Amino acid sequence: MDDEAVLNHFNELMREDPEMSAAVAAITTLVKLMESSNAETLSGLVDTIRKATSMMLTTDFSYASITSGCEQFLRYTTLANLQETNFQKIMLHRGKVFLNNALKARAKIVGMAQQFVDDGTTILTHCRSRVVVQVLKAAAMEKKRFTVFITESHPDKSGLAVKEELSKVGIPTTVILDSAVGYIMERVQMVMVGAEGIVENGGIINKIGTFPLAVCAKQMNKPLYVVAESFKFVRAFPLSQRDVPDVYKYRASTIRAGKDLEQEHPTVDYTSPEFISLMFTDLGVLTPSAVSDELIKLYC
Amino acid sequence: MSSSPSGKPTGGKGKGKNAKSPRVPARDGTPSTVNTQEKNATPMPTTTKESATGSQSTPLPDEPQFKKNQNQQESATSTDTAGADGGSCADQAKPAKVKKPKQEAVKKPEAGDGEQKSKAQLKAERRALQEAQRAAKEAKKKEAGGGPASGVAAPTAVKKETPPEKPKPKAPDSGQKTKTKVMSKEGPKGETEEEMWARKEKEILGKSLKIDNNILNLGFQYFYQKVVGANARCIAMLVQLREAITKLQDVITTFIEDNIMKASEGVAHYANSKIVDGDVILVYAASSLICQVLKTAHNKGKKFRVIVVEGRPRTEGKSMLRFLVRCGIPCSYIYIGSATHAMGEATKVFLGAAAMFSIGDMHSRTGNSMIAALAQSYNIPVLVCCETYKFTDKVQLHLADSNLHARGRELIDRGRHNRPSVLSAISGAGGNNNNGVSSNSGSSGSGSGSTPSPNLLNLMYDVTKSRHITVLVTELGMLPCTSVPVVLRRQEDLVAEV
Repeated sequence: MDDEAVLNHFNELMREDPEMSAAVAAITTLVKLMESSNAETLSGLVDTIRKATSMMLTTDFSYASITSGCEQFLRYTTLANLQETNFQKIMLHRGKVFLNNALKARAKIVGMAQQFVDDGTTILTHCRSRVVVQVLKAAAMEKKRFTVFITESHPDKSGLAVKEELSKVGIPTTVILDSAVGYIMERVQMVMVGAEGIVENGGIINKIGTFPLAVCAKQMNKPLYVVAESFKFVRAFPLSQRDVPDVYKYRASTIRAGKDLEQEHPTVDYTSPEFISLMFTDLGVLTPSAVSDELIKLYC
Repeated sequence: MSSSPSGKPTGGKGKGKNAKSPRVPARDGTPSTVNTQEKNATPMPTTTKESATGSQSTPLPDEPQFKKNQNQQESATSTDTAGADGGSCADQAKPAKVKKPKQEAVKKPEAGDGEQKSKAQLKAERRALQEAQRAAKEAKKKEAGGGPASGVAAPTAVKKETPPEKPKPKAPDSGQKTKTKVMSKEGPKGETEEEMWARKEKEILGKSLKIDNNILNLGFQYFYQKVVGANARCIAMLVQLREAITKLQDVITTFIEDNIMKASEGVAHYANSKIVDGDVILVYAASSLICQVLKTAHNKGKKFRVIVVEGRPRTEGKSMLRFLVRCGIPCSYIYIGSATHAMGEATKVFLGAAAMFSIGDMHSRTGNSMIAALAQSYNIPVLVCCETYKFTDKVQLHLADSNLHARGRELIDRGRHNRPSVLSAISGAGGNNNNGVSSNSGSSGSGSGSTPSPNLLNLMYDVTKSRHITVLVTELGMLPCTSVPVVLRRQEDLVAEV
């Protein structure tokens, strides 16, 4: 597979299945790449994977998600006793195992997180997170009655799509203005958001607007739950909003166009761990500080 | 990262119970886990002594007490190296303790099986030993006519019943009766002398992984009587020790090289990723690591400014300032009292740590906790630079728990010439001036005459709470300070693997 084919395959996957996370699509593409690769050396294969990753990062899908998924994939596949003779086989096998786990992750989380949705509760969520929607749907299937407030989520107005989706399964849903988060906070019992990336200290990088939501929830003593798969754990440690690299904050196309970034809207913000109550991941229900422990296991 | 992703075992699998032993904070600075004890030769004699004297001072093989002894013995033997009189490698590790081997020899054989045997076997053995001792006790009672002397006599019985297992029994003639009784009781266990030797050899082999090869070799040479003669044995041991020390020197050199020098480069590398053009970096007092971080950043052409905050009485900030100015980094220099002023313009705070406690708190030069708390309240990120060798499993909850005091008079010392006048001015003012200074310790004994001397407390270190630290920069990368115990556990696992 050349660069072109990698990109096409990735875009194809994202188009075919809108429910697929960008990270999973990227990992699937990498497995496909490994299958067709005829690299003769280990470093050759690693280089091919790296190159494909950087190709996929030129798309406008979430940078945090793709980079975390691919980095972990590479780390996991090479974290074995690889000899020059059989490395392709072992790495491909490990790659498939990793992909398999990634595919199963969401179902695992949904099963766990839906128990936290109580009967009669009111939930505030932000933007469209595939896994949060799944959790809410699963809770509705369990015949729980609850109300959802969803922010409109500018600039892509993804909140409207979520309202439609949830209304279909009979969950009473109200769309609120992004600026009405403070207004609505006193009426909700909990806040549940997804994440594009979970950074090393347990903070999250997510759609713009998550941070003010989290600050508001903390101030009003409402728990903020993050629902995300563990392949979104990424080795980055932002100290502040400004410290988040531009590649995370702006679309690849915006950066490529060489626009003045000060005049552009960032697409994500960073929420530090002190605002997060718990994280529902496929590794279990974690406190934010446990993220670093998992990353140390994988990378150190 | 999906379920159990890493190929490496992380939970210390297959490292026996020691690796999984729960971590407790060390009480008095001694390493708290069994693992470290195994590496460390010094705690060993104490444990052995405890168990040895313990069994002797126990008057009767009273069941629960005896069990306790057994447990102690087990832990002692797991750190022990070889059979007491056979291999005597243990003796080499602690040549200073001359009388120890004798005590061990008296009581060791029963307990020496250590990890070679399964739990069930151990249990059976303990049972056999208890029976034997009970029998011995009864025998003694009979001998003494069931008199009150039995309480005193029992310890000798304990001593006596072991000689059958000694390679060269120098059993005293007295107590012959007891001895035969015990032997007959030991009979069912069915150990001939040959078997005993075989067992000892097996014991040595079982523990060989933990001992340096040369020492082990020597142990075998002693064991098979290949090296005989007092001088020959002594010289052989000393030569081996000399080599061991050379090896140790290498280990120390490598440690300095890897864990301190290279680690600081690693820290500088990671810390640099957080320094950007236009930064105003606030530092407190002096830290060699911070110096290196800033120097590296400057050499990479980053444009930033540094505010050095000074603390009294050591005024270490001066040396920091001197270093940075020599590097060509633009600096400001202020006193800690004006730190709030500097916080207005600082964008990042870099602090150096003396140690990191396992709950994520930082131990460092006094004043750091103020700076960190202040930065936190100004919403300025606090970056603590620290090599991982400074991580400790100790926990210190209070500032003064194990603080170092410096001379109290340094606080009011203003140079050699006018010290007396300053001192007298303060002490002359009486109690009022003492209020500012905690009076629990560190009083300077300068007072003469009737005026009360001031109580001066000059602390060297303080503890910064983990909630005031944004990130911990180590050679492993950037971590939240809650990860200190994880890193410690990993280090331990690595040591265990080696």
